[in-house]
Amino acid sequence: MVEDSETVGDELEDQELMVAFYECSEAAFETIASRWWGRLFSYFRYYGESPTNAEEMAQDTLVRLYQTKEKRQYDVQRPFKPFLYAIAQNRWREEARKRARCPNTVPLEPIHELIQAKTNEPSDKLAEDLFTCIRNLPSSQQAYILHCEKHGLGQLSHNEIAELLGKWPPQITQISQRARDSLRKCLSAKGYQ
Amino acid sequence: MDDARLETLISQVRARLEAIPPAQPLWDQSCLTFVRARALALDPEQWTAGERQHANSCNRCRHLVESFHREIGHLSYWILLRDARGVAREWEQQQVDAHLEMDGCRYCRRRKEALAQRLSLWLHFPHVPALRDPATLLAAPAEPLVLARAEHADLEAELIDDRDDLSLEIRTKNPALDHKLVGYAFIATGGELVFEGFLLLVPDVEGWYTGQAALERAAFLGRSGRPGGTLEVSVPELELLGERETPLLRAAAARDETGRQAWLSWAERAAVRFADSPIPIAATLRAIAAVLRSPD
Repeated sequence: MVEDSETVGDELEDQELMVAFYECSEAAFETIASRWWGRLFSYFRYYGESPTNAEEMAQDTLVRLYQTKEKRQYDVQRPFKPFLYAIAQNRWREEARKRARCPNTVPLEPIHELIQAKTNEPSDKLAEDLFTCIRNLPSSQQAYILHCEKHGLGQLSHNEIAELLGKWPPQITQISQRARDSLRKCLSAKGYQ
Repeated sequence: MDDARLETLISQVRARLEAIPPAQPLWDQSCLTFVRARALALDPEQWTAGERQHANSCNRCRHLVESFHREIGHLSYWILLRDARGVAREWEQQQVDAHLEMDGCRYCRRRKEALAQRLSLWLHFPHVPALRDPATLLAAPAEPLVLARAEHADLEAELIDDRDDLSLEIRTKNPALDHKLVGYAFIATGGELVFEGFLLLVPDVEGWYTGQAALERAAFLGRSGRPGGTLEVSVPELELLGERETPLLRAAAARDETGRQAWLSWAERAAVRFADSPIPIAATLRAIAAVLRSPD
């Protein structure tokens, strides 16, 4: 059951919490888990997972993060977010492979259902058109738009996306420009001015 | 359309997505913490009645324990064996202590206790010398070179370097070991587990029961750059093999085309023996038998 002091150091950075966790502060891990749970849930929902699947995959991601303790796999000198999202992305790819779905294809239908359920509108044309255009992008550009906090729908900076995709930051700038060019053309063709 | 307009459109969609919260927070006051769920996965006897009752009606807690159960890496058979035999290296000993004492893994503790009580037939090559340098192979004599040899009780083994081929041969004259599984592992001087695998002992000439494994020369030279190491050979009790060993068993059975019938016979008998057992190997035995029975 939850202990009285189940969380520590809400003011601490993730990296500091991971240091504390690796030094055997289990409460530090509970703080990380509660801090990232919602964002991981949203991440898997963006990738078209049902609420139940998204919850379970968010849990699996945190369990795998916990299991990095034994071999100290997270280098506390490096940014935390890309490390965590790399675990999440691997988890999602496993799921995609299990369903024999191309791991880089964004499944649009569940996201439509998600938005419709929220807005209670019969159809959300903008979201539908945007996701159709995203689906037409090459996989690296899809990943960029889904992850970028500035130009896309995600929560990561360019440097963090570079870490996640195993590319150099200048390559991400290039991917960003190409993705946005393609999206502009695609949305213009659909009548957006 | 310019960049600003595109960003406006994307931010509208993002706002709708962000407004969708998780169905519920990760846990409430009665839910298991990550730490507790891991402890329960490692030692199911720690479950309290209250926790059981809660988990029965809470998918989230049930899934959390299951997820830890899947992700926890258990000790390999070889580390447990070396520990039981008193030849574990310092880092292996630390791994055993951390997993059994600090984590409290009941499953591996039981395996260790069982191993200590029933030490299997075991051959230990304390030092396997470096292989012949590939550059000098052409000048080397044509006859096979026995790199290492060990015998203990009824079991003998030789590591043979035959120019292009490197093989491990294991033999016995004890009929009780007919169709017995034998495991082998090579640990480089630097401590790296370079390869491991399984073979079956089957009847050969002059009353011998033998099994051979072809080894990859490159793997044997080691990635650590330090030649040599120790070779372990053991006749394991099947119930002591863990989840880590099951893919190796499957690979060994699939690889041995000439011994297909022997593997099928072994897998079928072992599957019957463990038909009602919850041990990890039971499902693997059934799967191996099913694959070998199929016409292809």
